[in-house]
Amino acid sequence: MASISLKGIYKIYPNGYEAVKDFNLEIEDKEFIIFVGPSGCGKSTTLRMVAGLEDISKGELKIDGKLMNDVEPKDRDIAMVFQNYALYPHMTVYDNMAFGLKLRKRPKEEIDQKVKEAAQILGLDQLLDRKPKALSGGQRQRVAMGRAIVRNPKVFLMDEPLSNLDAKLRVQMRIEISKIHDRLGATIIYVTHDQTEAMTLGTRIVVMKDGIVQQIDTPQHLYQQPGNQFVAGFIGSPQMNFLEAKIEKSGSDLIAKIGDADIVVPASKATKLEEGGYVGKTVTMGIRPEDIHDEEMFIDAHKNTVFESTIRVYELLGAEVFLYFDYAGVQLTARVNPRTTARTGDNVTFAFDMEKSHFFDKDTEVTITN
Amino acid sequence: MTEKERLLAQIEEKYGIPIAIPDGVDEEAAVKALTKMAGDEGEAAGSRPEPEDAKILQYLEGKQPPEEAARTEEALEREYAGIRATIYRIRLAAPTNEDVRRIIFGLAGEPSHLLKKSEKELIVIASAADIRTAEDLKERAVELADTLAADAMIGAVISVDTSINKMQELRKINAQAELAVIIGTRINPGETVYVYNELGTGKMLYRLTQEEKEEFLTDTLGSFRFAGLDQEMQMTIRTFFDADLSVTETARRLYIHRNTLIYRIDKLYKLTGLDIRRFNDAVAARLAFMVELLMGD
Repeated sequence: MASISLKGIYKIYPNGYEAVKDFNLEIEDKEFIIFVGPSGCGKSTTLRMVAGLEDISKGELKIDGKLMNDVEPKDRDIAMVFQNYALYPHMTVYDNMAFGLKLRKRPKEEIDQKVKEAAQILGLDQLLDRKPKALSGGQRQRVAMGRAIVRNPKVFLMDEPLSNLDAKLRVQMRIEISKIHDRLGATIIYVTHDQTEAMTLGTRIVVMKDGIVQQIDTPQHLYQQPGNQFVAGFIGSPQMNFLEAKIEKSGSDLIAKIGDADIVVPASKATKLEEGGYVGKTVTMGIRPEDIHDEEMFIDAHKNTVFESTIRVYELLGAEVFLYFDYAGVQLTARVNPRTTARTGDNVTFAFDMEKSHFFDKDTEVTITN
Repeated sequence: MTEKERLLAQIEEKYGIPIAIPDGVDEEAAVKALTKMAGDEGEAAGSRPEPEDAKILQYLEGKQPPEEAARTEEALEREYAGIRATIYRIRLAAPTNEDVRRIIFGLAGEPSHLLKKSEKELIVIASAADIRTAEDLKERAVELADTLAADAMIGAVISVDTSINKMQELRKINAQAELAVIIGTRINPGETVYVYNELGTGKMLYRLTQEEKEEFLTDTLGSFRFAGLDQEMQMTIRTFFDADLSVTETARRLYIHRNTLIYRIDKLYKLTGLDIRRFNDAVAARLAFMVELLMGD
């Protein structure tokens, strides 16, 4: 069992800088939790507090119900994998993986068994006699993982382990890590700044900004129901489009005045805008690129969400096309079908899928309609 | 069994780590290095005595009389003849132990010295033979910190300056590496590695007296202080400077709308009279921001 509880956790440096503020999270056994956010958001600092490498300024950390605040890292039954984890250059793969167990003076037979088991899981069994300089980048990262796996810890803590790898290798290693999680059944806390990595690996994601948790949720909920504008913009690639919209009443309808267009707001969202007192006020509307359509059939069915613009850039990516254009003083991105006839310089009619739109308070940036 | 083989076996028994000597390494140099690692007293065949670590520490701290300092420097010069060297200053979160020692020797290359300034502060003189650039050196320091964290499970903050090929510069890079962590932890707390040459104007500003710092802050900001801003505003200002005053790039890094960023910059202008989109105001604000962080020595 390896449940982890973080309650009211703070990290405050001597100069008063609060790197982490009031972090609260309950992690169940075997969960794959991702901490994600931009550089400097406090995700690595939080991970290091769980590891015991940084003191906890305030709050309580428990692993399996036991208070860990003052427990030495080596006694927390954890193993760590870092981005810049060095392999000992003069040792073979076998000796690199055995190193941590030798430091702990484990018996030779136990070390041999664990190294070979981990090597088999990671596909390193044919490479045990090689030195690091004879390994590829992906193989080296597997050896780094192997050094953690042999310890058979309750919890794996991984801090951007794939950041030094090229894009193709990162995708391969993500799959490997996912398989390791399934096979070992361990609890994993994984830190990354890459939202794609977060979305593909995690069972739950903790989005952080400026030391504060923004939202904790499954990848799907984060994408479909972001709690604030930061989460909405951070999760999803390409980024969500944001426009200023003035909310006004038009007969029985609520409309969002965006640029020249009067866009009808669906009833489900209109209710929340009215109840929140936003009629007559300017809010921020968010719409994902895939929810801006240029197909004739969609436009015909959604004539009350239509607007026009001139394409500035057309980008064919094979299975999809990105169209970049300006509207209401903002650059927008639409993800459309590759069969589109729109090209750079064309004046195109678009329609928003307003059922998928999000509205945010302009001052607090909190979601109004989710 | 050759002397080299004997020493390799002795080291493996002592540390529990098998050591391999890369092809092409000079035999005499290898024996010298292995002798030191094995802790053999007296001279190995064909080598001269190496300076003891305690003496090297005194030398670095300027505590040796001139004649003795000259001898220590000469001994180091012989030991590192033709090899570039560097210093890693390591601040540990917990007292050092044998695991830390093994990891450092496993990574530092030969020749190397591990000097214990205190239970939590170590100075490592290491070979920089395969370090070609400043980025390489920083990367090595980060690797060392991460490996200490993962294998010895001890947090470490490491500071470096540069690599040298003359031992008479060793004291200078030691002092500058020490300054790097003192200044770096004030300006940018929470980093794992601090590099002296990355401190920029921080090095100059650190040397101002308290009175000079206070006078500069008052002249530039009046009674306003950046410490009174919330963390979001402070992060916004830092990011704006790091992004070379680009509104677009700053908004991208912070994942905010450019209008939100402009609103924050305007708010700072109302508080300070400094429009950080303008070069001279940005310079004044940045210097004041750093001086404020360096107050209190």
